[in-house]
Amino acid sequence: MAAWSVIQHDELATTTSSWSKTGIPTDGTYDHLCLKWSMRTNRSPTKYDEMGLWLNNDTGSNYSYTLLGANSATPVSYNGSSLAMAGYFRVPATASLADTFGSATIWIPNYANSTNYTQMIVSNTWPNNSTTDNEWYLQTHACMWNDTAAVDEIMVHDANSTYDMVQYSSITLYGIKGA
Amino acid sequence: MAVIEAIATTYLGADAALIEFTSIPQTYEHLQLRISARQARASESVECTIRLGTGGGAVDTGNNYYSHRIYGYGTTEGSGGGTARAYWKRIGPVVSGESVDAAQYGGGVIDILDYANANKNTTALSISGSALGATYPWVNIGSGLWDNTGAVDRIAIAAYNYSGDFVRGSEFSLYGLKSS
Repeated sequence: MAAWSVIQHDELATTTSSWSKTGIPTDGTYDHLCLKWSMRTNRSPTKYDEMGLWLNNDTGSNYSYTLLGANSATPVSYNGSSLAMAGYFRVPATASLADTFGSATIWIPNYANSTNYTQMIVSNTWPNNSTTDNEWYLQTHACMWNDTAAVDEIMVHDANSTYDMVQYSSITLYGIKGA
Repeated sequence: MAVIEAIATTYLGADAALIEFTSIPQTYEHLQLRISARQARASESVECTIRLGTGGGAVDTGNNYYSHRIYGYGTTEGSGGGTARAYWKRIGPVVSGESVDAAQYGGGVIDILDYANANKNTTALSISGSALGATYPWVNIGSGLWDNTGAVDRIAIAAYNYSGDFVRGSEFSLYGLKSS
């Protein structure tokens, strides 16, 4: 069996408010999940938007994170807890350079175990043709979902549930199997 | 069918200034570049530089490349972005220079997502590091933007500021990630 499998891939044909995948196998088919997106939203008139990610449709205050990020010459690190989403992953919006989409890789190791809280490791960028402070962003997160349930559903949308992902945004969910 | 396929690998049996992957198939969703390299430059650590091409022609040498990074340099951390350049500078993996032990080769991984989508500028995300035993070890997270919506069919990797050589033993591998 191949180590990597595509569970779901979508390239948006039109603006779309939300992406989700339900029924992710938790029977040992895969050991880990990896989500990659190329994303932009129609938030206006701002240069960026923030995406959220939810597991098993849990919108309770059950997420925490530690972040290393930068949007200037000084990188910052901070953390938060009791949040209602994993996220605030910045992506380009209407006032950023046209046709430019942000990239992210989100690892969810050992997602199907039902003993430990679920950890996520995220690398994310809001690229832009600017060196001005707050007109670009680069971040890496450690996120945790404070729940021991096996993950069988992932949902992604604008953190404020207000704006849409634009056409050509893409999301690919991979399942990774160990030997 | 494998989701990740090796498109090409270049292993240097002798020093070389430029590594190019050409005629990159348009059949994958994403590309991933993996580099283990060392440069013949009197420095502890050196950035690779990268150019992209489309339409079967040469790589773009215009000032159409932007990049940002977060880095750790010894005990110093920092971040920042580059103005428009003629190549990606701050996303290219930091690899070892010749001022450190000859056995040290820095490494990095670069994701280039939706590289074949002609409706998007090409963007990338990288992580790299080098010279762990030297005085100035680097670790770098980088982000790149190529202001061109052409489908990428060529990647050129050069040493720092398009000057000097990669040394023997450096290795550059290009992978394709499928979406089905």
